[in-house]
Amino acid sequence: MTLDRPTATRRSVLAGALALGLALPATALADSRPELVVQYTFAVAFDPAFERLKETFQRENPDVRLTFRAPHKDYDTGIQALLREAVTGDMPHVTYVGLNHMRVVKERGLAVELAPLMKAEGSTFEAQGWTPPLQALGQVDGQQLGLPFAMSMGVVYSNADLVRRAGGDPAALPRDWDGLLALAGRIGKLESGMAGMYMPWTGASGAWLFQGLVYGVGGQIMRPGEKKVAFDGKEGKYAAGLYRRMVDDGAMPDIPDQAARQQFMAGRMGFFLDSISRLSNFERAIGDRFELRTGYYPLDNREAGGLVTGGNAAVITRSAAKDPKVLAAAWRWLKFTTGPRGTNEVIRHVGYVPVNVLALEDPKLLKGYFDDRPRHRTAVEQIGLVREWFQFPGPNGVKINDTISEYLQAIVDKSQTPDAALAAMVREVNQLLPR
Amino acid sequence: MTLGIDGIAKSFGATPVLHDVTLQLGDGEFLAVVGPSGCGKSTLLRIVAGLEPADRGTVRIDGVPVDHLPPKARDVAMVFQSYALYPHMSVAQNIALPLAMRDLGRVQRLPGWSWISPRTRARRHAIVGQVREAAAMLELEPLLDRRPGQLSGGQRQRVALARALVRRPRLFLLDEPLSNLDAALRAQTRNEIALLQRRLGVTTVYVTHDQVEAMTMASRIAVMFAGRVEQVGTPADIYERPASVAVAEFIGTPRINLLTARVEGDRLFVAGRPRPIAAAGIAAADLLLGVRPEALLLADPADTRALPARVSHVEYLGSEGLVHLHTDAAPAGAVARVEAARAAVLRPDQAIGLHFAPTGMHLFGAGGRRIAARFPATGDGVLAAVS
Amino acid sequence: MKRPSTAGVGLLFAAPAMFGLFLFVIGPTLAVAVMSLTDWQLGASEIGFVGLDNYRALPGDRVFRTALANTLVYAGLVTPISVALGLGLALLIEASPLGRGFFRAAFFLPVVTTTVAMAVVWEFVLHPSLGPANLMLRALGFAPANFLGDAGSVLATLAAIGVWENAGFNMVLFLAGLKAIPRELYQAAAVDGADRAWERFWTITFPLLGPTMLFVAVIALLRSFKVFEIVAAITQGGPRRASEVLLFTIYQEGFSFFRIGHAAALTMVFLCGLLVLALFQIRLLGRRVHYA
Repeated sequence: MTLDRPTATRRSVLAGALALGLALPATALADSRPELVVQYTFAVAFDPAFERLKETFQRENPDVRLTFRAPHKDYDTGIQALLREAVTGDMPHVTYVGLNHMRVVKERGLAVELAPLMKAEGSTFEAQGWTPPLQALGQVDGQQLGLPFAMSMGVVYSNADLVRRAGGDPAALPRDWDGLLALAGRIGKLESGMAGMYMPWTGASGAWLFQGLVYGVGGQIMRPGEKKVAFDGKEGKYAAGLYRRMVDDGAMPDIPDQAARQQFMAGRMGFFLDSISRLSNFERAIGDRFELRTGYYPLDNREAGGLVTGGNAAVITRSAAKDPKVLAAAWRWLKFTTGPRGTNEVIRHVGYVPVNVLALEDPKLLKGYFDDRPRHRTAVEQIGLVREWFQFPGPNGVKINDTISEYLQAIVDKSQTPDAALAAMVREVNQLLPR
Repeated sequence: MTLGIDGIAKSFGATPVLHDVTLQLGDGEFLAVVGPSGCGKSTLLRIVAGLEPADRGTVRIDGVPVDHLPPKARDVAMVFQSYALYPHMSVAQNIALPLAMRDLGRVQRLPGWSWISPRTRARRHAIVGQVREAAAMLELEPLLDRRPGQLSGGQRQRVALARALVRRPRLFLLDEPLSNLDAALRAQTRNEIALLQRRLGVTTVYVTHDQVEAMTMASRIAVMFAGRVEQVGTPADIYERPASVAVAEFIGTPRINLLTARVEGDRLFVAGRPRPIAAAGIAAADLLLGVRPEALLLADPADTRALPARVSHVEYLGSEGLVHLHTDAAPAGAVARVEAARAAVLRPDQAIGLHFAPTGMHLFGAGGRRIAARFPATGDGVLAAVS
Repeated sequence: MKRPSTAGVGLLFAAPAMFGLFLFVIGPTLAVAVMSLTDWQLGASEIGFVGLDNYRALPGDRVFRTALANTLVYAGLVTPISVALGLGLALLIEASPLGRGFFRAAFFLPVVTTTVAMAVVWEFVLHPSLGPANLMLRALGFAPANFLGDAGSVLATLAAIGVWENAGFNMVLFLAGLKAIPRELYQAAAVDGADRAWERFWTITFPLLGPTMLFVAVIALLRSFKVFEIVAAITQGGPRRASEVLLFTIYQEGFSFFRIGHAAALTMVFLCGLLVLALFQIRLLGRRVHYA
């Protein structure tokens, strides 16, 4: 563009604007393919996987134009943005929602129900690896609103060096709480300033892991059809009591979540109990400082017990339903990313637990992948135990998790007895639940 | 109280501001220190006050060295050019502060302490009395409750004076106290301060750049240039016998006329025109003849003994006239002070002759120092009056 | 042709700023006020008018009461200490012949650094077992302290961090104020007998810093009420809501719990509280302030 004379400038700007105005509809006309807008979360972790998935998908589906929106930082900012976009009518067609936010998606009516689409696939759908437990992860109150894409669950991260010093076998950690707490207690006594273990009771993992403890002894969070929590009985008391025992027997320090992570990474703590999604984070931070291993999450009730699940689900939003062509494209994308091939990319590039078990058996995909990755394998071997990440109904759903954390803190810092704290917790949570 | 300033020297960094300044003040004397700005006169005053340490030399009050004493222990009072009134205090509080600091202890100054201690109450009461007295002296009584921000320049100046004299200091230091006032107010206040000083009889050092203030107020004047005292003397001494060209030029309005001159034996030549002079041992070197404007007498241009000159312009002032002149002997021009009636008839460009009255003539040699000389009368003054 | 009136022209010139003020300050505030009368949840398509229910629920809301109390304690600690410390630092720096620039920069640094980044550093420094603060305590023979993890000490620790953050800011304002005091006043005071540091301070410095003091006090109060980042970054209001402060509660209620109506009511209460406090402070201090 010439800038030497004002008139020339004005003319060329005008010309440019005119050209732009003409060109835009022209390209839109030229590319009449439906545009599928997708947004995912956790950019750092998922970027490589999604780039590969886009490439493959675009090659196999040239009739669809796939575009990514800038990914969100985490599940919370993701759902916040989605809720705002719902108000302004600007939601992406497919988005990946944290499992803990699926209930909000349902209550705000943001998603397209998937059951009719699944039914149209007929019997082949389950055969493709979407087993009923897997489908259940994407359901809220029986409605299928999403398909799980990446999944995480609790594991025991251990400092194998400290376990050995305390006389334990890092390859075969105790699978019950009594055993694990005793070993942690011995590690805590190794020297001053050493901690036995830590299990977060606040932050993103706090209430989630509490659910895990309740599931672990065969308990439930809420019984279907009731308007009160179900952990006010012996399972709840057992779970609440465990937090106190972690402090008393397991040498768990009463320090903030982040401080405990730093201490574990520094090699001054025996066990850290948290989601498998933290694995790559721990691996990077620890390096060769000590031998990091993962072990099975303790489970006192092998028959009825289970483990809580985290992760995210792929959701088709309301805005895709306006155009049948877009909806069809979105459904194809959903099946592709949550299916065996999507799972393959996620496991290889992200390090989560595979959602689609078919991928594990396919030699072209993940079969044998975990053989020399014992840290990942732990989680894979626990897949059979997964339970849903329970989401409390009603407008206070998210706040309830916060309330649970608060009372767990009271148990850990001994300002209340476990029973009293649990009673207060139950009372307050019941108040926050919709009547 | 007497003040002795003995060999004071001071530099700021590498810049010397005072060289070996020595001055003596007798009891009750009013000394004006005058000089152009930057001559070091304010620094000298601040050294006397104790606000600035001297590099060398001694300040004595009543013969006792005070160099090691802080300002408050010297019992001096100072009036600043900006008045430095405390803007958050009323006029009464401003005036009372020096008394409160002197007469009340640290605890007694606490607000409300006079409720507890009868002694403090009595002292506070005494202070109020003294403040009233000082305020009365300067006609400030109606303003006692005002803040400085609500006062005019002249009123502020009087508050600063009252604050300085309220505790009857041994020494009164004034730093350009009139420079922020307009001309009319300055003339009036000049008088008031001079009268006040005489009434109180406090030894006073008055720093100013305005020679009129120095001449009209002081009993003695010290003229300073570039960190040195050039001359000390009564106003008449300074005017009538300036020690140097610089002093002669600085004192007196309009400024003294300087003419190039030459002496040969007993004759003084100005622009080739001789006149008798009685001066011992002067070589024929180039000299400067200073002639006060009132000693420059106008003569007939035809008078061959008179210095030829040309009128450049005339200032008619009513009571007198100032005639500005071109003459070869005075490259910077010359000014003559004449009667008003005389000035009224002069026209620019008019040719005129000049004679000198012997009383207003000063001869300066190399380095601008005064040369003692007598100028025998020639009777030219009569001629000037005629033409 | 009629000339436009002065007021009309003035209004015209002020219009862009007024427009911005309305668009970015008054408008949103009104919107929040309206939202506070509803039960709206973020993203919800229906919205119900509930009158003053959100406000009526506040006195009985344990989290709100805790947050209010914590915020008051925090501001009550941080405001006076950071103002006094800022003044002290300013006086020391002004009096010191050496290293003025260095100290000024050193104490101002916390103001210009990102709070969230500094939060990470503080978290490490105060780490219960690995942190230098506790290593030092242990070396001196004291029991290590769980500064941020103990419900009894977390608020005081955050307040200390707040003081560290704000004192430098206040210091810079005081330095500017000190510069504006004429030198001659100190000299006049010295001649009048007030030459000890303490006397100079009470006779000249303190009264003449009045306008600065008022400004700093109001700003410091508002800033300490606005404590948020450090809480969001380190403690998340915990442990057991011991560091729950109003702004964090508002954020959490609105954007984590999606309870917009409730958060809007909290915001209105917060705004009104700040307004009342600032007005009260200006009235109270303003009476004693001398403007030269």
